[in-house]
Amino acid sequence: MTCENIHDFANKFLDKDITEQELAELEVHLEFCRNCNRTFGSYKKLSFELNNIESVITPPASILEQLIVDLQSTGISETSIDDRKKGETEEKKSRPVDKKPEKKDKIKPEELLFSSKQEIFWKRHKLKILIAILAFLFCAVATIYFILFYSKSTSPWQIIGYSGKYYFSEQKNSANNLYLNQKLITDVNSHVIIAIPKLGKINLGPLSEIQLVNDKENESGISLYKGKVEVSTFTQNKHFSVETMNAKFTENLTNFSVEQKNTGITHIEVTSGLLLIQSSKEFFTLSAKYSCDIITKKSYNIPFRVDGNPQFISALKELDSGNNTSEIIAQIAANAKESDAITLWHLLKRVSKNYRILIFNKLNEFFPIPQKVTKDGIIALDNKMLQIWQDDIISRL
Amino acid sequence: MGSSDSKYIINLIASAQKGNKNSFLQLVELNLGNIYLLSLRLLNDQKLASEITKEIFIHTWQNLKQIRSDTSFSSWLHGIAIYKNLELIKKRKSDKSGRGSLESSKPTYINKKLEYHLSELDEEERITFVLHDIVGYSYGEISDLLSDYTKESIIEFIHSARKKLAKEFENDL
Repeated sequence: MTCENIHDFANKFLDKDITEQELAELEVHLEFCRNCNRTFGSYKKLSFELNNIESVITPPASILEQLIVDLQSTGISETSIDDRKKGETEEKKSRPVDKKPEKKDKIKPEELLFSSKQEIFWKRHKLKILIAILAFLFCAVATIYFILFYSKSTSPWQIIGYSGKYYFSEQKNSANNLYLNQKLITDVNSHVIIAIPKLGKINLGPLSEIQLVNDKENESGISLYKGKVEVSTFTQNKHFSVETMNAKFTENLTNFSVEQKNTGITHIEVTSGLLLIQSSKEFFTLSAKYSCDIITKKSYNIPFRVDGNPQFISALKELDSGNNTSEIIAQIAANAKESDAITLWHLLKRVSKNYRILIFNKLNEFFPIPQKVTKDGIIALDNKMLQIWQDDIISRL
Repeated sequence: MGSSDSKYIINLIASAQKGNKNSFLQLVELNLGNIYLLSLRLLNDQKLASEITKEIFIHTWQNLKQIRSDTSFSSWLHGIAIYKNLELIKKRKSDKSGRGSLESSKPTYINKKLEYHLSELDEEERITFVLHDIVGYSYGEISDLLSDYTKESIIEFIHSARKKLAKEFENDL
């Protein structure tokens, strides 16, 4: 062979029409001729590609749709149905008992068209439909999980330690468990420690009375009728609250104590974390070391830090008792430290407009007003601005 | 019914022959992608391929009772498809005054290299190559179908097509 007839050899090879003699000749030639080797290689590559060529392609959906319509309108169905009926009667003669296959055949052309169109719709929108179903299922599962998780009841709560005597309002199964809506009362000189499942614990002081009012995992709570509770928690995602006749205290990874005094005053002290105080009139947040007396549902004394300057604290008490002279205000302003920011913030609302500027300047020194808050707005006691400033102070304290 | 068809296909054909369109549509769905691709390769025109595919199946439906027992359904269907396609190509040739008037709906979405270069071949080369090297018809069978050409010229077309296509793969080696 020569280089000129490499194509003939290649074609014979592709047609599987090559003799052994020719194949041997070809092999010898290819060993010496790079060009022909390359050419022959390209034919082999073509042959390989042909072996792997697709035999099916996804056709446009319109073909099937139109075909269904055309089959319908050609009128072939009628003649064919007639043919079929003929066939059926013939079959009936020969096999009168076996009726099942005939029934199967009795599909009306309209039904056929309908079902086919449905199939087309399904095929076209398969992915969309599947995604929609999956999204729906996901939402459903998430909702169910959410409901189960957050409405999960955690009661009864276990009493994990005590000294002295304690009583339940009504006796249930176990003397060691506090059930929903059940009251627990302690005696003189007695203490009870109750575990709040997955959240922390309550230490109930002497001559106290509490009721378990909410045992949901995410927002459990007790009512404190009298006496004192100390609460310590170790998780941030669930919230526990103590409610007294004056206010509701909701913790967020907080250690705090609440004392409901016989005078009607509720005394609170925050050891660590943040405590949200909600009374019927307003709500505010206290940070660590702050203490506050809630007098009634609508009034409270100015909160202050328990480790603050004694002169500062006594001046505040003067102010709470109605002595709002300029000397007292001046004394407060002079002794205020950065850590007293929450006290100063509450003072803004307690003092007259003239003194308010003084307090504003002092607080602004420690915690400059954030954006969206103006001096005029604060002096005019704009609630929104006060709130923004408070949030800002607490986040930075 | 075809000797090499599965029992499922044989039952579908029997049911379709009795007039059951549902069964026939199942047969259509099984072969649609194949027939459409064959038409696309032969015609090199998406719009015409869609139309002829539809026509092929309507023809099949009308002539279902003529199916021979010595061939499979798919090769019978392929016979109809090739016949219909060649008929259309002939018609297109005589209709067409200037070349390239129908090139607008040339398939664009075939991204495989072979398919692309196939569509770039001359019409005679493309048709004969598809029939011989893809469908598997012999030179003799093709010359029976394309009565305008001698067997020798058909072989020449195929060899020329192979040469052009092989050339395109030379750089891939």
